[in-house]
This record gives sequence, C-alpha cells and structure tokens, in this order.
Amino acid sequence: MMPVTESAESNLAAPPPPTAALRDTGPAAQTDTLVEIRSFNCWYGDFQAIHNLSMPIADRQVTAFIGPSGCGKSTFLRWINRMNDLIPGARAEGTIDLHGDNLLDKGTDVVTLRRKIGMVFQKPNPFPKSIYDNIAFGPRLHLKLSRSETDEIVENSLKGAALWGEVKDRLKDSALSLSGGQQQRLCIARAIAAEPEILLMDEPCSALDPKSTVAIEDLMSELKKKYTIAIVTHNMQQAARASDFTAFFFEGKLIEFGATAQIFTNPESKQTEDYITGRFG
Amino acid sequence: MPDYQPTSRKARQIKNTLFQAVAMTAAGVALIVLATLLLSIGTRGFPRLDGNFITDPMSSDPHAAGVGPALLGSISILAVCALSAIPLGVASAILLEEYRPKAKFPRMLHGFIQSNITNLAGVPSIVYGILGFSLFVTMFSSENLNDPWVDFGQDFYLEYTGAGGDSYYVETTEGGELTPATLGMDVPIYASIRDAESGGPLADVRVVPAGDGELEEARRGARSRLRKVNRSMRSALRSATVNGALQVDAASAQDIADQMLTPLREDIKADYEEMKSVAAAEIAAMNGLNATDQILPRRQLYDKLLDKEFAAAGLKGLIIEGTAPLRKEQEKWYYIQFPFGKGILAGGLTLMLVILPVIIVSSQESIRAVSQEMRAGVLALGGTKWQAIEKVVLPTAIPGICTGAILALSRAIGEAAPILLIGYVGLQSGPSNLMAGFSALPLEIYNWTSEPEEAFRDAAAAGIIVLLAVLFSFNAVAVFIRQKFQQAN
Repeated sequence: MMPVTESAESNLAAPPPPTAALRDTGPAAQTDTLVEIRSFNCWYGDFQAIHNLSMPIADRQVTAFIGPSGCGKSTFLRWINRMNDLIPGARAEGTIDLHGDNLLDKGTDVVTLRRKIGMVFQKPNPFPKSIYDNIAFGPRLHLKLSRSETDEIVENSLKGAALWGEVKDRLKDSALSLSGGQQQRLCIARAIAAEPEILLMDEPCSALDPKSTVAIEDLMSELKKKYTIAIVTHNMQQAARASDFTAFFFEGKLIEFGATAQIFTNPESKQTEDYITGRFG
Repeated sequence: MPDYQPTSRKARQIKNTLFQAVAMTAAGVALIVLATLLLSIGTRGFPRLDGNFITDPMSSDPHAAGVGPALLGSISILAVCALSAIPLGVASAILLEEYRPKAKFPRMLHGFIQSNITNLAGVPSIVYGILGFSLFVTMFSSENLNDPWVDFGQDFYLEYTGAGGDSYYVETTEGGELTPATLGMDVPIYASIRDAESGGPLADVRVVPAGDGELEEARRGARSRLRKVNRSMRSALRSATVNGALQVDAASAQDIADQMLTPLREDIKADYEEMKSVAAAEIAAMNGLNATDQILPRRQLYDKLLDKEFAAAGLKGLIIEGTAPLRKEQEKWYYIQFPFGKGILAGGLTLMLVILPVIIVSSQESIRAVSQEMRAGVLALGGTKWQAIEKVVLPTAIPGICTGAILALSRAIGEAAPILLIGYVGLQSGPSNLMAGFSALPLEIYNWTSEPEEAFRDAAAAGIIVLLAVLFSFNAVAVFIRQKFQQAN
C-alpha cells in the first residue's frame, strides 16, 4: 500500500492541476487498465453473491455495471473500496489489483484505501453542516490545512462538480438546504475534494429528477478526464449515454463485458440482448 | 367474497362522537387534577414566597423558615449528577449503538446489557437510594462513618479557651492561608484570634519565631507526627477491640500507649514517660467500652501532646492566657474522604444511578436516528469509525441527547426517595465541599408536610413552587435547545 499512501498525500497537499493541462482522453481502445479483477468470489454468510468474476476497469474511463436487482453489481462496487467490511458475514476471495496490490488482502489499510477510492451513494448524504464544511470534511480528516488552502480545495472541488456557480454566495448555508440534484453534486464534490483516483457511484441518479440526472451525466464525462469512474445503474439509457465500458451481471455472474457501443448494438450473449431490449429485468 | 354488511351512517357518527367525548373527558380529568393542585399550592404558597424564603435556612419557626440551604444542596447534587451521568450515559450509548459486536458470545452479552439497561429505567428510585447508600456512603463497610479510611484536604486550627472563659481559636499559617501582617511592629503577625462564634477578629497573636523556615518546618513536623499518633492509636485500639468492645488489661494498655507515642520527636520523648502512664491509664479505663466512640481521652492526649510538640518546636511565644489549645479540624473545599459519607458527592452519584438508564436509552435513540448513510459517507472519505462518531454522529445527535439529559435531570431534582437516606433536613448552611452534608428541596418539603404546625404546610407549598420553578426552567432550556438545533439543521 505504500505507493498509494505517498501519492495520496502528495495529491492532497498540492492543488489539483487545471483541467486544460490534462492529457487528451483517447478512444476507448487505447486505454490502460487501472484495476484488474481476477477470479473474484464473494459471499454473504453461506450465500454466494458473485461467482468467479474477472474484468478490468479502465483508467480514466467510465465503466458501467448493469443488471437486474440482486445480480450482485452493487455488492461488487462496495468491495472495491471495502465498504462491505462493515456488513457482518460478508467475505470475499480473489484479486482486485490496484497498482500491483490486492485490495482484498487482510493487511490493506482500508482507511487509506478509501481515501484513494471515493464513493457516491444512491441517496445524497450531505452531512448536516455547511456546504463549505461538507467539502472540506475529507481533506480535514487527514491534513492540517490553512484557511486559504481549504478555500482553494472547496472552490476547485465545487467547480469540478459544476456546483460552484450555484452555491458560491452561500457556502455557509446548510448543505441540507440544497435541492436533491445539488446535494448529489455536493456529494460528488465532497468525494473529489479528497483527490481520489477512482470514483465509485452506486446508482447516483436513482433519487433524482431527469434534469438533475442529465447534469450528473454531463459531469461524469467531465470528471473522467481526471478520475476513473465505476457506476452502478438501473437506467440502461444512462449506461449507454455516459459510459465507455459496460459489464452486464446476472445472478451473480458476469455475463458480458465490453465497450459500451458494442454491448448495446451487438451483444454477444442472448441474455444481454434480452435485458437491454427490456425483455426481462 | 366476504359478504359486506353496510353499517348505518348514523351508528358510525354516534361512535365517532362518543369516542371524542371519552377522550375529552379523560383529558379533562387530568387537567382538573393539575389545576386543583396548582391552585391549592398557589394560594397557600404565594403569600410565603419572598426573597427571604429563598435564602433563609430552615427554622423551627414556620414563619421564618426558608429553603436557602436546601436549594443550594439541590443545585449541588444536581451538578454532581449531571457531570457524572451525562458523560457516562453518552459514552455507554455510543458503545451500545456504534460498537455492536459481531461474534456470537459478545452479541449475546450486548443484548443482555441492553435489556438490563432498559429494565433498570423502571426500577423504583428507593432501591437506587439503598444501593447508593451502600455503594457510595459506606462503600460496603460497617465501620463508623466519622472515621474514614482515607481523608485529604483538612485544615487544622487550635482552639484556645481564654482566661475569662471566652472561647477563641487561632488559625494556623499552614499553606500560606494567612499572610503575615504587621501592626506597626517589626515582628510578623502569623495568626489572629477570632471569636469562635462569630468568626470576627478579637486579637492578633504574636508568634516569636525561631526563624521563619524553621518555624514552618517545626509546625509541619509536629502536625504530621500528631497525625501518625492518631493513626497508630486508632489501629491499636481497633486491633484490641473484640465484638465492638475494647479488651485491655493494664499491660496491654501500656503496650498501646507505647505504640501510639512512637512517632513522636526523639528529643522530647523523654518527657513522655509521664504521658505514657496517663495514656495507658486512660486506655485501661476504656476497657469494655466501644473504643472508637471514646473521643475524650484522645482529645486530652492531643492537648498534652500539642503543648509539648509546640514547645519543642520553639512556638512558646503565643500570647495566650488560658488552658491548653484544642486541636480542631476544618475541611477545605477540596476535602475528600473514603468512604464518601453522607455528602453531596454520594447524593449526586446516587441520583446519577437513577437517571443513568434514562440518559443511556434516550442517547441511544438519538444516535440511532442518525442515518447509516451519514456514517458510510465519512467512512467512504477515508474516515475512521471514531471520526464518523465524533464529527458527524454526535453533532447530529446532540439536540436529542441534550433534550433527554435535561428531562432526566429535571426528574432527578424532584426525587426525594433516592436521597432520603443520604440527605439531611434543617441544615443551616449550604454545602462547602463535596463531602459536606446537604439538604434538598424535596426532602425539606417532605419534612415540612409531616410537621404538626399548620404554618409549615404553607412553607411546604412555597417550597413546591420553588421546586416547580426550577423544573419548568429546566424544561424551558430543553425546548430552547431543541428549537435552536432544529433551526440550525
């Protein structure tokens, strides 16, 4: 875990580079693999939730997990940042490889890991604090920051989440005074304030209206210039619109994985085709 | 398909009206009882209620009696109770809610503790009173409470009886309590004689010092040796006690006298041959009696020992006429003893026992009401479990915790049963330290209502008004806090 720790600190200490300086994201085919999952199995007690999953997650691309309810896609997402550690009886085997380390190792420092892998939940969960304190929350957990450093992080994160223009005059207001869509973007801003490498999104739009959903999808295509995004969604159109790669899960198994365009236009598996055409699920 | 019988519209309307009437009658009865209570207390109590009533001590004259010491006592035990119950209760609630064990046996233990705490909230408060008495007041010992195992924070002074038979005492300079003052003389004044009754200064006492440092040294030495004498005599007497009575013959009395005088100064030990025989004779005379109750021989020994010790220490220059000084003890504000005895610490902790289950349960409710998403949010940002509790769970749960705590405290201040065994009635002043005896409003009210004189009933009514005022102000604070935090969120 050492390399992760070091880069996490240096990333947090230095202000994020301006978006323009980032390299151009090329077509999906040229992408590197950031996370490699090999023969992953997991259980809740005696129930096996995922069977022998192997797939890559591409660096600075959006990877969507789709499938009917109970197929294990959310469970898998929550294993990537080890949030499932909190659930009694949950255990996993196999490899989730990030920079040569297996995240599932017993020795993994989950606190450091979760700093590197941010998460946005299904329901917006801003803390009952001011907008400013919500964004500064993650960095303040780990660093002693001066007032001006904190100001900079808050501004950059809110700009990164396309919320700055709407809230810049009311940073001291309670985060709970924002609308649902704004709250979810606030949660995204809060996650990126900690400068993660990967952003996990667990059905981030399911509690939002269509307009806010579009805003979040637009945001995702901006965010993928800097972050690797894994998103669980029930909304097939969303996966088709916003993702570069799609993984289709069914009954705990990965049925098909590939570039989104291929999955939605020319799926190899009959089950995938049935699902995306709405014949079941 | 079930066969639906349409009920008549009329019958339903009658039922509706009937139930409304029943509900209103029930509420009305409760209101009438409350109004009667307030009215009877108000008409009796308000004429008695004035500034003096709130500050005056208890008196045998019902028209002069007040609730001053009782009010101070109630506030003191409530402060002890709040400072102990809130941290303990919130910490327990955090443990029970946030650190739920996963393994089977700890989970059973957790469930056992949880159900017990819930049950404890319903235990009658007199039971807590008895528990508090044995746990804090006596600490399960059956020994005399005036004779604690450990005591700390006492001040000593010497009481002199002047030539004219007037009683004075001389404050010592221990701990620099009195700063030296001069009376136009070039000799420092180290002490002053005060009237033992009023505490007013009568005369200054001039001490001819053998050099300031030496003087202090000598005083401290004398005092610590006297304390050792006291302790060795106590243990010698205790070991010679069989079934509560002292069993000594002439020889063992001599042994005890030898033993108790051992810690004395080497250079004046020779003078004590005479003392020893006096002591031995006094101890022998106590044969068959309860030795720990025999204060008098001890005091006489003290007088003589003090004389000698102070003389040896070069403290001859006290300009005092009269008999030898008596050594007296005065407790400082930080005085502590074990067992606690019947004091505000024991009283406050007993009330803590009463309200602790209530505070734990209400804090648990507030902590549980914080959504899991909040906790997950902190963890997903790389926070630890404690950071989640400290930075999000507790701040969110605070209004609920405060409201629960204040309502519990307002129950505590009205309780008489738990402190029935620990408090006093009719004290003339409020408590001066944590071990000091106290009176409390409910105790004083209870006492007055059982007095034969009718005028005491009026005083009791006035006392109830004071108690109600305190209660209402507590509840007002609880409402205020809730409102404030609700607006903030």
